Amino acid sequence: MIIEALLIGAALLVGGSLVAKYWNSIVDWLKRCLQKVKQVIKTAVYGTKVFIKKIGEAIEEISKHYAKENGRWQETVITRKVNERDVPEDIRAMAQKYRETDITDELEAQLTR
Amino acid sequence: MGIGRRIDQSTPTMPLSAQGSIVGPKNTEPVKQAVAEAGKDSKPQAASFIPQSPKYSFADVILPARTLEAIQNALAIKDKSDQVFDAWGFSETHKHSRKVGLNLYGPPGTGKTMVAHAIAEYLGKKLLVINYADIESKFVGDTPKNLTEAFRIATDSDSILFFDEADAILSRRVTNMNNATDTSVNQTRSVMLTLLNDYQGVILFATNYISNYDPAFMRRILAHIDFELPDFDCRVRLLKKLIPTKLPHDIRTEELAREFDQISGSDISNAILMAAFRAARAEEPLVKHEYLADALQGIMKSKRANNTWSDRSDSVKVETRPVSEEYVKSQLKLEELK
Repeated sequence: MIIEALLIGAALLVGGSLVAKYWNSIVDWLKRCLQKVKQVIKTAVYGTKVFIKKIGEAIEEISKHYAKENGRWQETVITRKVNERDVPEDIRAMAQKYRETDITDELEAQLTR
Repeated sequence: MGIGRRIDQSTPTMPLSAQGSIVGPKNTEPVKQAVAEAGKDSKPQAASFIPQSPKYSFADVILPARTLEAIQNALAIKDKSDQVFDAWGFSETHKHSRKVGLNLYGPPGTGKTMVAHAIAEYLGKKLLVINYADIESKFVGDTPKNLTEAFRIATDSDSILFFDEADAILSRRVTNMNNATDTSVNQTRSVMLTLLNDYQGVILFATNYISNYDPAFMRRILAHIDFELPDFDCRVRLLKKLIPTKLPHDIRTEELAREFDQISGSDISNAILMAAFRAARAEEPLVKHEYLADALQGIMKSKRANNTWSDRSDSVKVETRPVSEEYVKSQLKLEELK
């Protein structure tokens, strides 16, 4: 699980490699996802998970955000498609057709390095 | 949640204290009691529980090949049941496995309801369509009664039961019951499990939110069929089928099918109608390609406004739905949520 503070405080990975670009892009996207979630449910996000799924020639990135609003838990799922060539080889290899693969731990490892 | 009141407005039959003990499928006696209680005065009470003739057949349905094959595979279980159960002896080892439960899940407008009708037509049976509003009652104990009545009518009339928007009735049970509503929700789920166990007919479920199903229901459903948005071939076939043969037009179907890749069959159907009315209003001799393209563009735009925000050149989809605490714990792999 990724907590909001970890994302907000995340520094950009240095360098122009595909790996750095990819994780920086996901972090940037997740930050905007959090803003979007707050617009929709107007409360703090408790935890976030990130998944990938292969769809045709693209990779779908799926972020799931959990928040409690008026005593009820809400799940907000945000998806976007990215081009396969923008995804590092090792992450691409994890993506399965029509099945979500959890990459939260991989992202967390990048954020806490 | 009180969604109207059914015709028979009898007083609540289940005291709250009796329901507190009903927590899951393992403790089935109280549930069976509730089912029996519910069945006692289950007179025909609602015009909504009337089996209807199927409105569609498989000839009307256009689906991606994979979805169609999954449906055919599931239906083969019914077709070949005599061979498997009687000739091959599975009636001895799998006594309660003749029932067929199919779950049709996927985005709105992808043909789930049409397929439910088509399955009924294929099997030569009527369809008993159950919506959440038909069974839910604000009176404690009435919802299980209504559920039991639906199953009874389906059995008596040899109809196929079809629960539309089934996540409303198959969603996860509450583990920390804090009030009468939680208890009532669990009781309804438990009664549903018991009814499903005993029911030997064909039962269909349709939902946009399969992830909210209680695992106990998932296990009792024979096959889950994924309805995806139509692929390119399907979009071409849908456009060709839904444009009336008498309609004068210059629509280039393949071009539109290529351009609009995130639309459902229902979207295409609506767009064609909108384009036709636009041409009629403008007193055009034919429906122009641009009219249909504009209508599809409008639908896409409204979907984006409803569910998406712009992210680089890609569209981003946002969906929010209520979930149980148990579900959140399982997703976040946490024992407790602080």
